[in-house]
Amino acid sequence: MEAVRQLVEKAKKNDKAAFERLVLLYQKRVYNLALKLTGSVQDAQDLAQEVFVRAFRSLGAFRQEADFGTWLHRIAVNIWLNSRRRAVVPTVSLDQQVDTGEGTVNREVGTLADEPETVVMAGELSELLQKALEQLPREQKAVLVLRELEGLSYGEIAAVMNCSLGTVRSRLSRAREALRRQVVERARQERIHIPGGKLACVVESDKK
Amino acid sequence: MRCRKAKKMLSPWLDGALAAAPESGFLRHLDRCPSCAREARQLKAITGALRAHWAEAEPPPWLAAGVMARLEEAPARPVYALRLKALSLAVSVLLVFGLHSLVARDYLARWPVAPAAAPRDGLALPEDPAELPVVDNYVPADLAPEAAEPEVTKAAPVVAAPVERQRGPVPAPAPEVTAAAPAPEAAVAVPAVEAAPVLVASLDTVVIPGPEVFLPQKRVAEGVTLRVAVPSMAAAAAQLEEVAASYGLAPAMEYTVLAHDGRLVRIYRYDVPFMLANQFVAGTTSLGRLLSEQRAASDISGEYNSKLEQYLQLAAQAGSGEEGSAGTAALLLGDLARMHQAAQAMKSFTIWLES
Repeated sequence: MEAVRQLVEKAKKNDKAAFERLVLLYQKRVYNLALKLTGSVQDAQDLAQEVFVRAFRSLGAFRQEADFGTWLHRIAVNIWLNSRRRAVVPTVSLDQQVDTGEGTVNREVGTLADEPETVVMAGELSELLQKALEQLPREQKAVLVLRELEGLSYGEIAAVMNCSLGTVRSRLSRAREALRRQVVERARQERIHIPGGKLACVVESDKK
Repeated sequence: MRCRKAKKMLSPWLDGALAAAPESGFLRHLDRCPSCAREARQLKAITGALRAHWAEAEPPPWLAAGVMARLEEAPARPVYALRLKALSLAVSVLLVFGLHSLVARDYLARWPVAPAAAPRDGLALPEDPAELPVVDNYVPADLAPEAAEPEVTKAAPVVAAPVERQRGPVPAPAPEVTAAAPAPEAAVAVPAVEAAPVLVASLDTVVIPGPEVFLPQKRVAEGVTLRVAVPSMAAAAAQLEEVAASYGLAPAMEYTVLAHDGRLVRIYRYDVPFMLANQFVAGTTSLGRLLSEQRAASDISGEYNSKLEQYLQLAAQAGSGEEGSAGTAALLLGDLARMHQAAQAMKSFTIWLES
């Protein structure tokens, strides 16, 4: 931790070699978070790079009392929430654009599952979960990713999303309920039944 | 326990965040209520599946190199702190050798030798020695204004010499004083200094504000705050950078905050020359939807004059051999130069982007 602290101090003084060390230290964490948020390898690469570029530019605002990793998480979530929000705005042919941070790239219309590389989880079950996650509002997906996939505590999530513990609790509760409904609905529609699988109880018990 | 209350406890229960007593009540409810029990099972299964099926991936090997390459592309942002640091270093060297005499004579006398040092701060100073600023240590009360050429008056203001005991009320407007001695030989009227200051730093590395900075006068700073809602922060930020760069401007400050309602807000501050202000407003508002535009003018004379007084005191101390105040003086000098320039030629723009 002390090593990170020193690297951050050096990087603040525009020491690019020190910052590169930080990138190497944190790239796996940031990249995996980006992968979970975006659900696409390409987008995750873009997001991860953008996170580090922004981090370097705003190092001056980083106070050492916060954890550097948490701070990077925060930047990642902010950028992602922001870049995705635009996709919701009905503007001319903007709905399929991917924000790369340097500009925008048009993307072909297609479901996530159609492109093999965009499926992060393998198998039918994972696909179901992935699609269900995609359907959630961004804030809900973010809070689920941070809690379930990143294993962050309520306090850490509050720090990353810049909200209160109460908001984390209620967002998480709503997000879980929304995901549950999505999964149950999709499982029913696609007649997915996985004997012995972890979701078996989901589909079976809901049919009763 | 009713279902409604039990459903609220589902999420904290999954995280093991329920206290013992509420949890036992919750579990008793699940025993009795098949509907809630089913939801609990489903949630637990989904959570478990999520965690189990997400394997960690390796980032692409070029990721770090890609980041570093992008950092190289990005232009370095000028930060006041950095400029002040350089200034502080330079000025502290000068202070050791007596800044007041240096400003009064050597700096100005050497001015034509190293003109490169001047325009850096955007303060126009004449290159022709004949138009050199007239230096004086006192303000004659009985001088009638002469018919001096207006441009000389403008370009060659008086240095109110930083000697405390002689710093009387300097009449404003200043040009009247300047008009008193437009001839170059008037520079000889500089009072003799005990020892000729030795200049160790070469002048082209030293940024000393123009002499008019030392002149008490009315200073009003104009500010514009533009709040713009933008569809994409990344695109808008890049566009703003482009607009600013096309005018040769660099942000004086930039910071990003997340508003309480989850909006991303980025705030820039630019110092924009008067001539470009309207164009800059147009360029900025084209980034998105203009939410508000506020213009304000504040009289900074009071603040300026008290800083000036403080600075002159410190400079006089440094001149008499006292040490320890050079850093503060340098900071003050930087502030003074910035405030002066802001009042003379710049509008301070605060650009608030939100999305």
